[in-house]
Amino acid sequence: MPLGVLWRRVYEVTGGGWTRSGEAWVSTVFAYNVSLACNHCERPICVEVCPAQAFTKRDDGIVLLDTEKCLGCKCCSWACPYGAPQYDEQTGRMTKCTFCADSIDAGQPPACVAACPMRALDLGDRAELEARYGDLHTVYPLPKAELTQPSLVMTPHQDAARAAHESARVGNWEEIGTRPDE
Amino acid sequence: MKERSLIVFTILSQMAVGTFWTLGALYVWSTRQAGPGVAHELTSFGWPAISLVMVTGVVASFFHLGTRANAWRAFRSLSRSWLSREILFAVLFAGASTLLAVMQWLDWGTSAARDTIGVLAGLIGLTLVFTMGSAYRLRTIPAWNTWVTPASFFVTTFLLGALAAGALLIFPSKAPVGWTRMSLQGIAVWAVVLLGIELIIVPLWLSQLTGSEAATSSFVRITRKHGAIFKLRLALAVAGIAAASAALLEPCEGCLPTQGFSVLAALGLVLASEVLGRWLFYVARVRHGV
Repeated sequence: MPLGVLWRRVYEVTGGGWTRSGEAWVSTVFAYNVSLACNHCERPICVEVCPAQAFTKRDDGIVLLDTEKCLGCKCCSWACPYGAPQYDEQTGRMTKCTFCADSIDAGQPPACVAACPMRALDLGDRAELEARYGDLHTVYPLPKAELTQPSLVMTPHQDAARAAHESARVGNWEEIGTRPDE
Repeated sequence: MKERSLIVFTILSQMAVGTFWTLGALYVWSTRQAGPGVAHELTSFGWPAISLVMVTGVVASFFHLGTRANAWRAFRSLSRSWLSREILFAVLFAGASTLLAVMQWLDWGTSAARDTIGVLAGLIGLTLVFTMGSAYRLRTIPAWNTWVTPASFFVTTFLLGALAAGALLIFPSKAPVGWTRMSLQGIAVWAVVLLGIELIIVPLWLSQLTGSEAATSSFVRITRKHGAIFKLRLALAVAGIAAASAALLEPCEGCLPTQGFSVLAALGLVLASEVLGRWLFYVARVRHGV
């Protein structure tokens, strides 16, 4: 993996504060993590915008990037609301999570799912995952799911619903490396 | 700012298309009013200049690519990628405008053949500006995903094109001074109208930047973080109106140099304003999500 390229990032969302109640200060601070890689969207904008047809969506839904075809125009990285395509300065081409397609083809789970010590990540058929985890496709700071229809369901943190209304923010941009506005 | 080459490409290619249309309109008008000889003298400097500007723009766009050796692959997704279509039409316009310039310069082909190529090149140019606007209308970037993007590209096209065509008319030619003067006046009126439209479009664009974190962030970037540049861009546009208006002063026998200077000054001011505006356009690129 090239230096500075992170196919999966963990966003640390923080918010809330302290409010005074009589003589006491009450904490409303909250924090949660969102682990995110390419969501292999149903409507992948990277596939739409790429002028070189470097992106393809396989029949099983995995979105793959053929770096040999990439021009390095960066249009996909501008467009993706999940920051999945990332530019490799050394090669002058984009790079992206493959969902460990070779492992999947060999009947093995992706490396991130296999490695997560908290078993917070899973994979499977969409209907099966929705039955198990619900049909929520976004939490703060992710965008509205309608934009690209991500192949992602999640069980939200108990404070995730508050985040959008209580000036939450991502607290670890330095670790993640890129912001959506850079 | 990593988009310097894209600023050069978009501004130069829009200016080339606009100049093409302005000179085309002048050519048709002067042919009908004064005959093909005057039309040729008025516009002869323009065609090679358009070709040169367009080719320079296309070359500049290469510097944006990380892997220039794969540039040829940019045409592979014409069925779904607006960027692919933009690149195709940019190359087609560069080719068509160069062909016309060569034909005009060397007096090749029949008049009908040149007219046909001219009309085709003009339509390709307009399609180029449309595809350029569509390529930037990414649904994940609220500051770009608006009708303002193609509208402002078209205004820039005709504004810079008109003033650049006016600047080309100042070159010494055998065209009668009276025709040059009238042409410059027409161009100045058109430029003032377009600058007025632009000064309406910009606040309309800003008024749309609400309703999401990304849109608000774009607004803050333009008006606060880079507020001084934004104000300078508007001030240059207003100064451009003043300079173009000066070209409308009562025509007199000896005032062509003054009129020419006014149009040149307007071109310089408006070009600077448009470059800053395009820079701010790229600065406003904040997408939804992370």
